[in-house]
Formats: sequence, C-alpha cells, structure tokens
Amino acid sequence: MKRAVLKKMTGLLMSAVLVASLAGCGGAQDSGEAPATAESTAQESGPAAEDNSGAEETAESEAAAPADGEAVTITLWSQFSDPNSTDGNYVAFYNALESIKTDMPNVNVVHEGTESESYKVKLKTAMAGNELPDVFFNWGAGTMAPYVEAGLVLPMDDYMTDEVSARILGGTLDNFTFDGKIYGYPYSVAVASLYVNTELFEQNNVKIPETYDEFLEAVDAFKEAGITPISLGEKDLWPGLMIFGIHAIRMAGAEDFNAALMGEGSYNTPELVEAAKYVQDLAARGGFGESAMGTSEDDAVAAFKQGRAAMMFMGSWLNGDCEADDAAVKGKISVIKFPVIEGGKGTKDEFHGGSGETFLVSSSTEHPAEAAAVAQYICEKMSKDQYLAGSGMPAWEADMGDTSELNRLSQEIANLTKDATGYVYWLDSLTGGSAADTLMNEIANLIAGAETPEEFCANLQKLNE
Amino acid sequence: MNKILGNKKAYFVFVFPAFVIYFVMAFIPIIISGYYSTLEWNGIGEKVFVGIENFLELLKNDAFLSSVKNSFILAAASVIGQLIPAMFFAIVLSRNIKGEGVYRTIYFIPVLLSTVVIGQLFLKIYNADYGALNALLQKLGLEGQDWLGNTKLVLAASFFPIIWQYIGYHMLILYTGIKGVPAEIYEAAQIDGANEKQMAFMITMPLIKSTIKVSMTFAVIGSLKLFDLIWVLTKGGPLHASEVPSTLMYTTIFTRMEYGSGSAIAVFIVLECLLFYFLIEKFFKVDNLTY
Repeated sequence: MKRAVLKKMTGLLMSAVLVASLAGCGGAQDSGEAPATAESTAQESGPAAEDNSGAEETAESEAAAPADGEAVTITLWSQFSDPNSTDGNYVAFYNALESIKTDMPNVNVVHEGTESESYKVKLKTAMAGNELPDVFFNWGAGTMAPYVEAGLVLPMDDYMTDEVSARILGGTLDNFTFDGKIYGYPYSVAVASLYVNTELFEQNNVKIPETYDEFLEAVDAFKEAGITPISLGEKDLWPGLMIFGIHAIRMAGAEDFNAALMGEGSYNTPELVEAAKYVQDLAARGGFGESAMGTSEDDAVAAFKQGRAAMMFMGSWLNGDCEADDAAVKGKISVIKFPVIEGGKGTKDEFHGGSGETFLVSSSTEHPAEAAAVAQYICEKMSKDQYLAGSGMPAWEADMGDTSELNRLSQEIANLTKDATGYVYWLDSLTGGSAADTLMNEIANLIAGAETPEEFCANLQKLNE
Repeated sequence: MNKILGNKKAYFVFVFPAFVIYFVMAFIPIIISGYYSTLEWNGIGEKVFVGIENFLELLKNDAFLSSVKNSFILAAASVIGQLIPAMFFAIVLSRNIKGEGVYRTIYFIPVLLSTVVIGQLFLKIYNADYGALNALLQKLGLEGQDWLGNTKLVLAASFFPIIWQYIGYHMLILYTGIKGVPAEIYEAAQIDGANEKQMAFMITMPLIKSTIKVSMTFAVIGSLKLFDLIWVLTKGGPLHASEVPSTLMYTTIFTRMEYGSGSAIAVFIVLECLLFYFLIEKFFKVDNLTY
C-alpha cells in the first residue's frame, strides 16, 4: 500500500518536472533581472579598471582640471560600451568624447559605457534609486515618456538659443518633445524611403513612380511580369508597420498620425480608414507577392538584393545591403520619396522614421547649464560624424566636407530629406509594449485581409480608450 | 537489496538531492508564476493585485482559445501519428531482423538533432520561393503553396516535423519494452501456431501496456507544452494560426510586457498537463505483471 502511494508520488513528481521546464519561463525573468543588474554593476567598474582609453581620458581631464580651476565634473552614461567598435554611432560618440576635452575645457566629462541590454536595466535601477548621472543616453518617444512624466528629465528650452535651434533640421525634435517642452537634442535621422531596382524598371518598361497611381501601375506591371513588386517580410510583423506607417502619413499627415499614435488623437478617422484601405488593396492586388505572410525579413532583403523584387520600402539601414559587394543589385538601386496619395493630407516631405536617440540631462544634476552644454555638444558633433560613417542622416546643419567616399544611397537619402517637414517615428518604438504588439498583429490582419479597414481602425482605437 | 528497499532513510538519502533541485528549479517558479498570474504588472513598475481577472480575460481572448485548441489537435495527432508508426517499427525491429542496430539508429537520428536544426531544415523545405517541397510539387505539375504563410496550411505544415521528430523516440521506448518480454512466451505461441500479426496484437501489445502508457504520457504532455519548433518555424503566426499556449505566453510576457496575463497562461499549462497526466493514469489501468 505504502509503496503504491510512493509510486504515485514519484509519478506526480515526474509529471510535474515535465511541465515545470515551461512554467519556469514565467518566473525566470524576475530572477533574471538580478544577475543583469549585477553584471551592469560589474561593467560599471570595468571600463575604469580595464579600458585603457577610458583610464587615459580620466587622467587627462584630471590633469586639465587644475589648470582651469573652474572645471566642473559631468558624469555621462551611454550604451556605447566599446571604444574600438566600428559601428558608425560608436565611432562618432568616441570622436565627440575626445574632442570635447579641447572644445569645452571648463568641463571634465567622466564617461561610463554599458552594453545596450544591460544599460536599460542599469538606467531603470538608477532612476529608482535616484542615482542618475548628469547626462545619459536614451531612446525617445514611448521609451522616454515615463521618465519625463516622473519628472526625471530636465527640459532643454532654457538652454536652447535661437541660434542653436536654427541649426537643428526640421522635425528631428518631435520624439523628444513632450507638452511643448524639448527634452533632448537629436543626433541622427534614420529614414525609410522607397528603394527601387532601376534595372528591373528599365527592362520591363515601367516608369519610376512619382504619383500613387503610377506606383500602382508599376505594381501591376511587375506582377504581370512575374516579379515580386514590393519585397515584404511580414512573417516578422514589424515590416508591415512601415508599409502601413507611410500610407497613414500620406493620408493623415504626420501631425495627426502622431497624435493618434500617442493617444492624443483618434485612429477612427476617415483618413486612416482610407490609408488602411490602400494597404489592404495593395496586398490584395499582389503588391507583396504571393507569400509575404510566410517570408521573413531576411528572406525579403535577400530577394531584393538578388534582384527578384522590384521595390522595397525600408529604413536607411538597407543602404549597406544594397551597396554590398555580394549584392546582385549593387549600383542599380535608387531611393525615392514614397509617392503622395491624392486626397491625402500628407505631403511628399513628410517621412517615416526620424531621430529617436538622444542624450538627456537629469533633473537632479547640480550643474544643469554645463550638463545641457555637454549634451548639445555631443549630439551636434555626433550628427556629422555618424553620417560620415554611413550610419544615418545628420540631424544638424553642418559643412560635411569631402563626402565622395560616402555610401551613394546615404547621399541620395540626405538629398531627399533635406526639406523634411515632419516625421513619424517607427511605430513599434514610438508606442512600445502591448500597444506595439497590438499594432503589429492588427496590421498583419489587415494585410492578410482578415478584417476590414473599418474594423482595423476601430480595433486600434481601443488602444486610445 | 531488500534491506535497502525497506529502509526509509535510504529512500530519503537518494531522493533528497534530486528533490531539492526540483523544488528550487521547478516548484518555486510555478508558485511564483501563480503569484504573478494574479497581478497586473509590466515587469518594471507597480504591481496591482487583480485576483483571477487575468484568467477571466484569457477566456475571452480568441488567440488564447485557438492556441489551446491547436495544442489539443497536436496532442491527438501526436498520439496517433507517433505511437502507431513507433509501435510498428518497434515490433518489426524487435523480431531479430537483419541490421536491427542500424535501423534502430537511423530511426533515432531525428531525436538527436537539435530542434533548431530541424526547424531551419523545414523552413528551407517549406519556403514558398525556393523550397524543396514546392520544387517537387512543380515538377509533378502541381501548384506550390506558401506552407508557413497560409493560415489554412500552417498548422499541418508545422505539426508534421514535430510529430516526425519524435517517432524514433517513442520507437526506442516501446522497443525497450518489447525486449523485456521473455522469449519463451513467443516460442510457446509459435508452437501453438500463432503468426506474427497475432503475436503482435495478442502478446506484445498487452504485455507492454505500461510502456505504451509512458509513451502516451510523454506524447500528450510534450504536445501541450510544445514551444521550440513552433517558435523557430512560425512564431505562432500568421495571424495566430499556429499559436500554441507556450508561444502565446512568451509573446505576452516578453513582447507585450504583460507579466500577469502571461503567467496566467503558464499556470494554465501546468494545470492542463497535470490534468491530462491524471486522466491517462485513470483510464489506462495497468496490471502489475511478473513473468
């Protein structure tokens, strides 16, 4: 009898173990946070102990300090953890960190870099403990909003002279502006545009579209010719955000669409319903090929790179892929503004994408003026250098000097966006969390034809209620 | 030996280390998940106690209900699609055929491959543009399909590799069970004039009933908590068509940042698996056999 009970218990234990491996996932995140924090603490001391350039820099600035007498120490945190990285943003950041020593001798900047995922945790911990540095890197819009609401970030309006704001390119401050106050300076603009394979357009006698009607004609012509008109990796969900995003911008205009996304406006407008109709119609007429729902973004990019698709609407990070040596389309790609939709409120100079990364000043800093000056200096300096490094568009006006070595498409995009009047940032970064997930799934429903444009807008509007 | 088996302290000594590990790694997370499932929480901010509201919300969530339905379909398909071929191979292999070891190894190979490897393999087979399956269909004059992008096909397409992968696993379990049946019984049956089919149905299967139960438990529980292959192949898409509870749990927690709701799904999976364990236990009464 007892043995039978024991047997049953063992069985129960076994079955529990079977299921536990999964249930563990739910709890794992909580325990996972602790090590991550520990890690970031370890990294905090890391650069000072191991990183030669960091140590050197601190020593140098300390040496410079007594000469001036007035030097103020500004602590700076960023996600740029590796001084030797070749990533354009990293290169630009470390350039700025180097030149600030000579350009701003009155401050002594002490930098701490933490790898991006740990950085997010570290920042949240610091906020909870009220231990923020004077200046810190952060993402804009939805990511930044809770910090601004909690009063942790200093507005820049008092430090931003007309002369400074004149140098900042139009629309780049939107993601750092809350209730009319500007909290951060921009340093780069990543922007989506329509990539067209000029060779395929020529071979098939199709005109590169300037109006939306011509765009639809091109779609039909390529479909007829058996070429995927627009490469879309909807399996990963986020690429669909960009397609809907640009249609919504063209129909509703950047301002109204931003308002809807930020919960201050409505998704239930005739313009957005119309935008959804255009997207659904584009999918229904085969604009994304036969298998967009099952295609990953990697496959979609590969198809475009190999010249199997005629167009792609994507962010400027595609530049590198198109101009890569192994790309069949190298030298044959051109970027154009997404055509204006007749009857829509949006203009050709409103763009999808924008500047979403910045350096913020903590509201508890003891040296607000110096901290604001450091944030401004780094952003302006990075704007030029990250552009030259082929990373994104500049956010500040500057003399770029010799740009002959620059990625050809980056230059084309710079030309397209120089008169930009408004931006709508990437919908997922802008909204964040469950709202971003809802947007992605609703847009997938729309593209697959599983719901009407009216239902789509009504479902999105639930996010704002 | 009997002395040891009769000694309760010996039980304790042997079971205790494993018990501690299971308690810390399995039971405590389950209990914590249970606690989280009563909260409305984004993982960072304030925790708000909402009682069983997360569970009530789940009942109204279409994606969740269809994910549960999918997992039941998979469980049924696994029992039929895995155990029957596995039983066939096990019986054939156990009859001392030529190359027994070689075949046993061949059938077991899919189990040894990492799920991600199998997932990548089938991603390439199913690819609508350059996949092997569509190429084959087109050679035969049939039309290719977007196997993982079509809401009507995706369930069957993604379940196939899951079922295929574990046939060898169940074959090995059943094979081991059959090998435990004494040869004398078969000899006696042969003297009585029984053929192979009769021996399989009248002798082998009844005698390895307890092994079949183990296989069935693994197949059902494994299907209900399946995550990996679905995640690699489709991430539950398109439009939740291939969603199972564990993939939905993952996106709820890590994409939507809804820890309470996601934990409620986790708790559901635990309870569901326990329920099915007891059901199989109850309806699969096994006599203790001694040879």
